[in-house]
Amino acid sequence: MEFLREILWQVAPIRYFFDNLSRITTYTQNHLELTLVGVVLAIILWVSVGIIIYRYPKLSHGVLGIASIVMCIPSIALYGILLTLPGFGLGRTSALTALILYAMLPIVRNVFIALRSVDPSILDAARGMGMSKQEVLWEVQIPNAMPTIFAGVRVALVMMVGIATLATYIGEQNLGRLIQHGITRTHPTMIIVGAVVVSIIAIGIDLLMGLLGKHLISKGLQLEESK
Amino acid sequence: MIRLEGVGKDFGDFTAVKELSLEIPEGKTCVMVGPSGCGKTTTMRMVNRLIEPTRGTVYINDEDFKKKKVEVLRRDIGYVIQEVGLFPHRTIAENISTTPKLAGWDDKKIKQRVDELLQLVELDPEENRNKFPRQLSGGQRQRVGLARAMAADPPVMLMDEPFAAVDPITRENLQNMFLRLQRKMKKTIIFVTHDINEAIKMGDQIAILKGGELVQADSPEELLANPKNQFVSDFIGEDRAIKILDLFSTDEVMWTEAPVLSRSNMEEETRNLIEKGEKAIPVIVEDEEGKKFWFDLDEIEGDVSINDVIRPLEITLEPTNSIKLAMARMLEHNNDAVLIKGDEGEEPGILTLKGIRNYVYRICESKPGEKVGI
Repeated sequence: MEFLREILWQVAPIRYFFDNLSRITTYTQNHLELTLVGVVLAIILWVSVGIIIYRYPKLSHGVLGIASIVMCIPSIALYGILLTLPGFGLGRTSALTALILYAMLPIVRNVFIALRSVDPSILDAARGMGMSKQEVLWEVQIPNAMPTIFAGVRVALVMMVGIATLATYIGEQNLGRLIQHGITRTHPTMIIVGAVVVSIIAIGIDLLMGLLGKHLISKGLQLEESK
Repeated sequence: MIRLEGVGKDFGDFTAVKELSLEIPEGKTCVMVGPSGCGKTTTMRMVNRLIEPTRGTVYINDEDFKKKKVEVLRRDIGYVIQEVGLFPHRTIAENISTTPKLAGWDDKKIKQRVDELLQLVELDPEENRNKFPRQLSGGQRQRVGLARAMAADPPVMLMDEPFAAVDPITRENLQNMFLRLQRKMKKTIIFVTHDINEAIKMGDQIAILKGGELVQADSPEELLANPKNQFVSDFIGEDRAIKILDLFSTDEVMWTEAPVLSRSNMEEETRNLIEKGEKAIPVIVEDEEGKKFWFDLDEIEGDVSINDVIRPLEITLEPTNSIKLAMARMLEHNNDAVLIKGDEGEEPGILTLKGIRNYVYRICESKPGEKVGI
């Protein structure tokens, strides 16, 4: 045991990780908090927008256009723009806003496409049986659109973990800090630890979302079509 | 009862349905048939207001359909479509309970109803209840679709080409099952198809549409006997005489009072029949072993003896079989008559090729509205 510890201790990043465990834990907590709050707000906001542009397709072109433009703005630049706005400034508000904006395209687009691609005969049958517009939406359309909507949220969330790293430049105390300080102090071990931990979180969240999806998406939709 | 009164629909400048009036009596099936674009589906979809009519109105059991809230109206109308439209995210049981749930039934009653309906459409409840639509074959899905439409026991049903998407064997099974069901359930049905054979098979009444107008609405017999114009007769096809064969069962055309003679003294008995003034009737002859033969009294002329014309009756059919089947059997065996089993305690009947020929001919020649006897 002792021997193994000796060897591992020779690996700089591992030693660094354990030496700074409490700091890294705090960073991780902050990182997760930011992304999770961000994704919850993003889901509430962008799923609604997706439903609205599905109901009023005339809006879809404009909204999806804006979402694509936002996606093209480099994140560091977006943070920069946000903190010049009154009421935003350095800190969580700007960080959250940026994350939510980046989630716009994957979520809104997937909701819109998913709702559109639900088999029209299913909707015809639902209406024909006497379901109201709201019942059709919530009981038939959204459950059937769930696989695609969920895929959009999954992409958005994993992306947010990465982009949150850069929020360190506007005052967030998260894993990005390890990378930022590593760069300014030319301390490669710090950079490596930061990058690896962020990556592990991203991969972990992706796997978790995969499991969650299995529960949230009806079993009937996960089956292969017979013949 | 469904009554359409001057119902019509315009889509912009295009008139899909002009002004259509039609009454479907309680418990009857009206099949709407016509080439694509004739307005049959539009007409059907106006009945549950999936398409809002531009003019006219529909009465369901004498009540103007606009008096009810549209969702409530639809819950009382079973709806079956070609693509079935089962909810893939819900189990078979959940699919079937859609309308009962909307109508607020309690869970126990719903559960019972689901099993009852699965049995009705000839699916094992135990095996299928918890499956998902994607686990079923096309034919099974349409059975579930039917069960779902009938779940809340609606008096009226709309069916849009319900059996068009399955293979011919499955289609026939579904049609037969549906006919059996309908005999029990006696729903008032509008059934849309483009297949005239299906229309003849399923309909008590056939409405032929063309260019958004009703061309002819009549019973299948009447339609085949007296197509109103060239369009209808073209639509029915040149083989209407053959199609008529499908419409009648053997007991409707058979000869029930054919004399039965014993083989040993058939000569004498035949002479008696002729003296009594009988002619042109089929005569059945039975030998000691119970084997049956037959001949037509007309065939006995001059020197012809019974032994020259007598021939065995090899085929026995049920009174419910169609005369088309009887024809097929006769052709297969090179016979010109079949024996039809009598109901319990009743004498058997005899159906002859000559009888069928006469009957079909007289139907084809009949005037509109005229009834043709045997």
